[in-house]
Amino acid sequence: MQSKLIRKEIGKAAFMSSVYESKFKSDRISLCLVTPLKKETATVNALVPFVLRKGCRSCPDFTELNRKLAEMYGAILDADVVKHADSQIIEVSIQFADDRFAIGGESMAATAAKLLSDIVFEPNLDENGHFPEIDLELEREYLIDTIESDLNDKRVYAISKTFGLVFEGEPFGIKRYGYVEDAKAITADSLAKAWRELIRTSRIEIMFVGPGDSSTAEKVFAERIATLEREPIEEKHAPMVAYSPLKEAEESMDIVQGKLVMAFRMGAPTTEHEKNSARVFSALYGGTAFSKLFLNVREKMSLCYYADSHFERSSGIMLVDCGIEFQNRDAAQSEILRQLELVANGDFTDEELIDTKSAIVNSLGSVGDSLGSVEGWYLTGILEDNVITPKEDAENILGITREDVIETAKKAKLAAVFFLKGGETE
Amino acid sequence: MNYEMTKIESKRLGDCYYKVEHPSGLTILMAPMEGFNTAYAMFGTAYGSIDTCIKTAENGEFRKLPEGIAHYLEHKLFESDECSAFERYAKTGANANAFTAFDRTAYLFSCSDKFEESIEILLDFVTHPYFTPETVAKEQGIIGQEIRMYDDSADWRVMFNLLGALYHKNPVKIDIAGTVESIAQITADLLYDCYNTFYNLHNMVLTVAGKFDMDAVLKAADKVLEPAEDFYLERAVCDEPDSVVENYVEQHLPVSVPIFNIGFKGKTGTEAENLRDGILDEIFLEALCDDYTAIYRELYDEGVINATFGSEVFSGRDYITLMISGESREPEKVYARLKEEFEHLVERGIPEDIFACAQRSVYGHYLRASERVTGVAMSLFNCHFPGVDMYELLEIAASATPENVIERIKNTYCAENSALSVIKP
Repeated sequence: MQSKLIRKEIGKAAFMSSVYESKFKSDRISLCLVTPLKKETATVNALVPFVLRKGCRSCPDFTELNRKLAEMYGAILDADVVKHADSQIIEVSIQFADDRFAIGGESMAATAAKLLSDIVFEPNLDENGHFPEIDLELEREYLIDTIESDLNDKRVYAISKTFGLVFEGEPFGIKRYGYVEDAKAITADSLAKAWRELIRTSRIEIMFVGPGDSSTAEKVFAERIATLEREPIEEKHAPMVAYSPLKEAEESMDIVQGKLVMAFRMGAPTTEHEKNSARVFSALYGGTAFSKLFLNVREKMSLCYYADSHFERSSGIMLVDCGIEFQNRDAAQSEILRQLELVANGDFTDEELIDTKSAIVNSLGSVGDSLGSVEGWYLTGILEDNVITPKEDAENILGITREDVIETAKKAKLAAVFFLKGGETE
Repeated sequence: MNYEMTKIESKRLGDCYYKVEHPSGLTILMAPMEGFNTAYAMFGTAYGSIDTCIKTAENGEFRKLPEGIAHYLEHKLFESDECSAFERYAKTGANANAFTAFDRTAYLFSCSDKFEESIEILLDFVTHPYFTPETVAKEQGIIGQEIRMYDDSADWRVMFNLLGALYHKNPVKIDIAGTVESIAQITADLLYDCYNTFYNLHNMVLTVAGKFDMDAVLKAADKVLEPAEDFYLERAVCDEPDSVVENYVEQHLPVSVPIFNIGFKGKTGTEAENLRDGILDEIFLEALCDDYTAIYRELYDEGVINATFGSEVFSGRDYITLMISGESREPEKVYARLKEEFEHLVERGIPEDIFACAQRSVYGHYLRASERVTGVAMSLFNCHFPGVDMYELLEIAASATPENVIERIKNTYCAENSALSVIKP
């Protein structure tokens, strides 16, 4: 990546970051509202981006809004909710063709920034300060469908169930889109209040990536934010749990392939060095096509098509999952555990370690090559209060030693196992 | 060696790529992209899951191949008598993969370092097959699980059920990976037969985009590639009627909300026509039901569709279909309304304002593909076999008119030749 992130405060707990990248033909602006993830507000907050996407005071009609975007050479306006550790993030973003490619020579960045700002800060509210009734009804239904859509992808479903087991009672365990019961209880009042609270109390993170001029966008946002009544709340984060007792569950469904998911606690890796050690360990164990799990569970034993491990740095756990014949569950589980033990005993070559680190370093090299990955990279850095370039990150990865990997493997303790098996759907 | 390089430019984008006809018979397409940090390379053949019946010069008669063999071959090519391609790539750090599609197979990698070594590995392992009865047997379990995974995937099933409803004979309706039963017939000898038939360099292409040294590509090609024999192949022409098999198909799977695929089956043109005219079809699909149309709004406000609603042109060597997908509790209603709107548009033409939106959206889509290393390598790859210049697609979008879009649709599709596929809970 050639350019570094420039970040400044443009209002009370409101930050504008930009990364200038001349090689792209589009620009991308995202606006994030960062707020604590809580069971009481998770669901209603998740509905906010869906209703915001329907229109704003300057363009109240949904069809008209979409037409405007299409005319901007198919600009993409997305509104969604994501979670990072125990933070909930309402993200609204717009990606549009850079001025150089506009047929009429119009300034796209200013138009896009204004539209994004209108969508988030000036929604289409009625005289009671409510969102249109039809938007509430339709988007609440869509939110419920989205919450339930985990079921449509059995791998996603099994992972979600495992998270539920391992994080029961912790903020990390609150679901991204919330809960059906809570969604049904949302009213015009509670929804409007959720939006007002988000605008008043959350941290605002705006990011501009691309070849365009971010200063016009900055001006648009700074002026708008100055007019808001802001009382940002202090962000307090829940400590990571080091270990928890093993929980196991099974569920039957009318399917032909079983899904086995195992979650490991890693002893609460909080320092950068601990997190990086866990990334390297997890990649060596099951993160590449030459990893222990790939070579043994898949290639040697032919038990599955995929058997992957993945370290979740925001929650500090490692997930292993695979799709197998129902009757192979025990064989797969014991081989997965045996491979972990082998790594913990130092049963891997220096070459495997070097190759694993070089695979990670190589993938870090691609971060700068797409607008979305540049944005995601720096947003994660901002949320973790550790903004570094992919190059600096690569140097840290290269510094991880054999001892670091062994020590990390020894810390891994099985915390949850979930198995989705065949049969009548429960 | 010095080669003659043809430079192909797009004034509109300010981009270019280079074409080299390598003496081995391989076409090499290279797009260096300034400012980027990664290279993306694809090496592949015009051979996919639909190639189930072929005739080569030697035996002089058509013969049938087991379903899923192209995909099986893709898996097995990664192995050699020494170490697997993945183990070799491990030394360069490249991220390697492969895929089998309906009418092509590709081997690819992306890297930000050690490009020279990785490109050599790519060319080498794809041109050096190694299959034994033991290694072939071992893959049965792995691919068997891949097939099972797709059997449980509602998104995958809804599409193949649709293709089964649309196509009488075209092998595009066959699952890419085959079935557990069909792959049981695959042997090392059969894999060699298919390999020797389709992995002829005259039937292949190498595309590279991003940050790399063009000389390194040519040097690796000189070092690894042997001149290929002449290529002769005849594919069985499937005499596919315009009509569909049935208009409705459904299956029950554990899903939260019913999901649907609607397909309007088109009369196929040549491979190049399907690609070029497919751009006009994309504009039509946008104008038919994208999120700024009246019909989208009506269905959305009635709660019949939601934000998962979308459309695409599904096309390849000898098939083309307009596909619309999403979640709905009333998929029959979506289907009926789309058919009505289809006829309405064909009859009355596309309103100017809607056309402007549709055209600009499609234009923007191709513009965005040109700013990604993967997008450029993939476009070069996809355009090579039909024999179309990649930049032409953007120009077709830019110069389309409502009249030529409607003319094209009238000649290719009709509302009756369509089907609805539904997965219900």
